[in-house]
Amino acid sequence: MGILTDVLKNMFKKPFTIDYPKKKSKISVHFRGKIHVDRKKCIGCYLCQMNCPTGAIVVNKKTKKAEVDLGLCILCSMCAEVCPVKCIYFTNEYENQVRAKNKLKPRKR
Amino acid sequence: MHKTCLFPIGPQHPSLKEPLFLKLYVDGTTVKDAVFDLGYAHRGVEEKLEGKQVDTALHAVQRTCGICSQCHTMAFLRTVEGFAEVEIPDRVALQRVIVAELERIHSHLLWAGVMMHELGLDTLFMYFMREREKILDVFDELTGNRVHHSSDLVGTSKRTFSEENLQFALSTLDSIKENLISYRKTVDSHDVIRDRCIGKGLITKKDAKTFGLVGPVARACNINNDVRVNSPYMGYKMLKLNSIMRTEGDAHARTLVRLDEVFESMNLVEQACNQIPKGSVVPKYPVKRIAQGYGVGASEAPRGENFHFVKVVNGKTARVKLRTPTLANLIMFPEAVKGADITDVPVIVMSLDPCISCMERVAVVKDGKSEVWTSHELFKGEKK
Repeated sequence: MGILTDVLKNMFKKPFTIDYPKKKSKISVHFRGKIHVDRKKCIGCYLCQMNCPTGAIVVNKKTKKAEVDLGLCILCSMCAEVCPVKCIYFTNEYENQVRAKNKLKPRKR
Repeated sequence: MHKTCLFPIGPQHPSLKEPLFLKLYVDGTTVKDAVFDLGYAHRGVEEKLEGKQVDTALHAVQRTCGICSQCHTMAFLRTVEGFAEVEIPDRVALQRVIVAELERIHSHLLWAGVMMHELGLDTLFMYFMREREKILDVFDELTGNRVHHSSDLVGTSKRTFSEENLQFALSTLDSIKENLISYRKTVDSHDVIRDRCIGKGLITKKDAKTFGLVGPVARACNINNDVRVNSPYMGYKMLKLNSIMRTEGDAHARTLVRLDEVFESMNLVEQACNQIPKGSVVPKYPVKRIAQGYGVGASEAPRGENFHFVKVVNGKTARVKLRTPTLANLIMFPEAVKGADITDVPVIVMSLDPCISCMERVAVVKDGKSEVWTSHELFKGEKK
């Protein structure tokens, strides 16, 4: 009987799921999406490279700027936490899938 | 005299969520003997954790499990903050507890959904998953990530939970509470669930004590081994909690223990939200750099006691040993399915809540045959 009343209730409700590609779900302002490095601010201090658990963020020896391999990044925000000039931040982008591998900016390993 | 024959389940099978090779020796449809074969999901977690700074290792250790990442954080931080003598303020302690308890709710709801799916009740599976989704939204709001929260650092947290965040968490819990009460009633009274769970996978109290089982599996056999009660850590020192126990020791008791723990966790989140000192903020990072030391620590994961050993030399982790609760419970798997009907095996295995890939630590496969290596041989990397 409990399930029957629930079924009748749900018949007149909106669907719980959303029509995804057309409508997007609300996400929090604190959400950690795609990582972004402000290259103008970056001073090349190597702190982010030392603190990255996966080795995704590495300072380029020529340009002295931090670069992120998006395929390796686990969005733990450790680099943003240790950065002295706060040039690393997380955007709200959560659709990070790509069709070509080189869009993830992979490094030669 | 009947001859037993081998009935393999896995490593890849629709009823298994993770790779596990179940060799059942059956006579007719009765299981006479069972052997569990592992080594299909080895990821080398402990090797990855060596030679990292403590805060970095903390973020790597959380990635051990996708369901109970905060519990690994709690065990690791309890160990490190223990030997380095870092004192944490009340706010940080309670914030960690809020995330950990929300995680317990989400883990148990996920488990309950999958258990109902194994029993063939897909409507209940959908219902449980719907309520769990709301908890994930709370994680998004509180910590910034839905699955791997990464909300803590040694001695502090990444962000101060605002008053609105806590209100959002409490209102979400209120909104799902009524539904969960009705689902629990259904689980307790539904004929299909009762017939397929009561008396299945029976574990006696004596067996549970001898084999050293942990978590809800042991609590369903009337053993109080809740780490939060027996040796309270962090915010649990300030909160009142009861450990949920039952006496039956079968699959149905384990289901009810987990569902009751959901309500207990809701109660804890409520207490913690009310006790957080208003207007306080988390300390600035870094609180203290850790150079030397070693220690052990345990935390209560949704599946049971989670044990960590951490050794730090010259500011880098030299060794991190993790014992996840499934490793402690795994020894009981063959015993639990012995004598059962073959159709009950998925239900019994699911009721023990295995989390295989968190647990796998070593896999040696040579020419298609598995070998036993001693720790000394493993260290050297070659067999004599």
